[in-house]
Amino acid sequence: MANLRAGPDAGDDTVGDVSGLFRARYPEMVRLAGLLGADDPEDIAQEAFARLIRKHGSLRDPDAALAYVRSTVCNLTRNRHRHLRVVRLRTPSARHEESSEQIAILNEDHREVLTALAALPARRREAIVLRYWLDLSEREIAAAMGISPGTVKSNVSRGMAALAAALGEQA
Amino acid sequence: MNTIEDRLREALRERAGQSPVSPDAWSRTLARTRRRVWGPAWTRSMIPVTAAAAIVVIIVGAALLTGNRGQHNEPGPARGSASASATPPAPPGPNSYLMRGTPPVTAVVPVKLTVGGKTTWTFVWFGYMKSARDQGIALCSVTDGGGYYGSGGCGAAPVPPGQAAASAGGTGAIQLGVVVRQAASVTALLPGGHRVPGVLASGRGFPYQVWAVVYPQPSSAQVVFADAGGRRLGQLSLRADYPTPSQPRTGGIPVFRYPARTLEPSAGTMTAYLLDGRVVGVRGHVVGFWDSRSGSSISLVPADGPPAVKVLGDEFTSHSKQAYFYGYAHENVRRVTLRLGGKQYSARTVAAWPGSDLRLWHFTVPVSALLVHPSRVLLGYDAAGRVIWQQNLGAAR
Repeated sequence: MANLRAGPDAGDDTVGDVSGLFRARYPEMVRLAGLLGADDPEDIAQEAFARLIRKHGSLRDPDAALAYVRSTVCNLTRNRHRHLRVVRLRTPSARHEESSEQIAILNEDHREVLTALAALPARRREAIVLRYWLDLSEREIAAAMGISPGTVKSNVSRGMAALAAALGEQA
Repeated sequence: MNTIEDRLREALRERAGQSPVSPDAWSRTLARTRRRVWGPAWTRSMIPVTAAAAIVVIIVGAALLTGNRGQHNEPGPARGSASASATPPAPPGPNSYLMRGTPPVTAVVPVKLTVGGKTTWTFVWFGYMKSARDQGIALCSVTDGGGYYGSGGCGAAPVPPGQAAASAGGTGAIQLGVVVRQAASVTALLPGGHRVPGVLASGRGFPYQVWAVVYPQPSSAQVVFADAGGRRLGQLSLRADYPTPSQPRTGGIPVFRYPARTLEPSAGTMTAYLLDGRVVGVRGHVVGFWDSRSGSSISLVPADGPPAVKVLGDEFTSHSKQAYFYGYAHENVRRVTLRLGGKQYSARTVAAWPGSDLRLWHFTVPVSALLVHPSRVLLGYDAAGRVIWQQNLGAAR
């Protein structure tokens, strides 16, 4: 990973607190945005941390700060998908796809799994990524997605069933 | 946990590992907090989505931006330049051996260079070598065009603590390496006072800038890096390659033919010559191989001495599916074998120059096999089938 250093504003308490979280969690948030299908994951992750810096109150509790960033990444990525849908309606050629380079360097089986995952509704995909990549609990996933734990459960369960059907397996 | 969960976790893990992280992400994040209008980049920009996702930046060395200053002192046949507007050829495909061995975790950036008056394109990217992941981030390069045909390699590329730059070697007249982001120019100082400006390149996810300079070989050079204010950030001392003797007019033994679009765009023959070692600073005789175009591999090991097998080439380009292993062996070595995991590739040796007590050998190995089996062991057998020589060639490139 690149060596991330605090910038010139790091003397400020708020920024200083966030810089520690940033060093520890920025790559994870970039990856989360990427797994959720963002076309520019770094843009999403940077915006999430920028919003955290502006939200001073959340910094009192590091766990709350992390949950806030995670939730912001999910929301921004979802918004981004909505934006792209509008762009596609206006300009049919402007489709977002993973680069051929990214797709080609994936293991073939993994490519198949991720293609099936990408075909799921956004909420189910989010729930599955948070569950199986970040290993979050249902409560944590609920906080990140802004839904109830019960809805998390049904999203994961239905999403996995759809994945299994797409991959010809039994969930 | 059932099978689909396993597959899902592995797929997510692999995909997650391909998301590059910019070294200046923190400063960019802070810059957002100072803006008056908040929001992700796409809400502030009218750049088409597909174009925004594909932006690649090439930073031209400051000396070039100011009109190639210093090139009047250039020795002539080689110089470097970069261009974001000229159209580069297609980058190496994902199935090329370097891409497979070191998948990119950053953008693949084309750098335009001029070598001997001919335009070449060197594609650079960063990744982790599958055969040496513990060495950390690696810089890869592949050069096409001019006198190059898909030649390149990958090597660990960290900038050592307390230093500004590191060399990653190069191919022919092209020298490459990495340098910290503060660098705004790179210049090679050659013996005799010649100054050759180089280029700096960067792209999405690059942990460092990539520098490239072009100067004729063999020559030593001091490569100097400066920031935008002209302050020297550091320098590297590059040694000259050993001088290459000219191809002898007679005495060659054709060893093997290679098809078109493998080692060169057109088909050719690799020919071995017995050379007077004094021309490369070695006492006695040495062996050299020349291909049809003029590329050569010269042994720096005396041709006489104890029984030995010498590998002079394990060559393949980004266009080739076969790697060409070739070299010489002493008189009692009748077969040379390469062990790759459970597979073996071998060839009988053939007598070389009368009275030389040397034999020549060659065989080909699928590049895919080299990548699958990182450990390579070369064995020499005598006429009775006994192993009389063995060498671990280490990991594949």
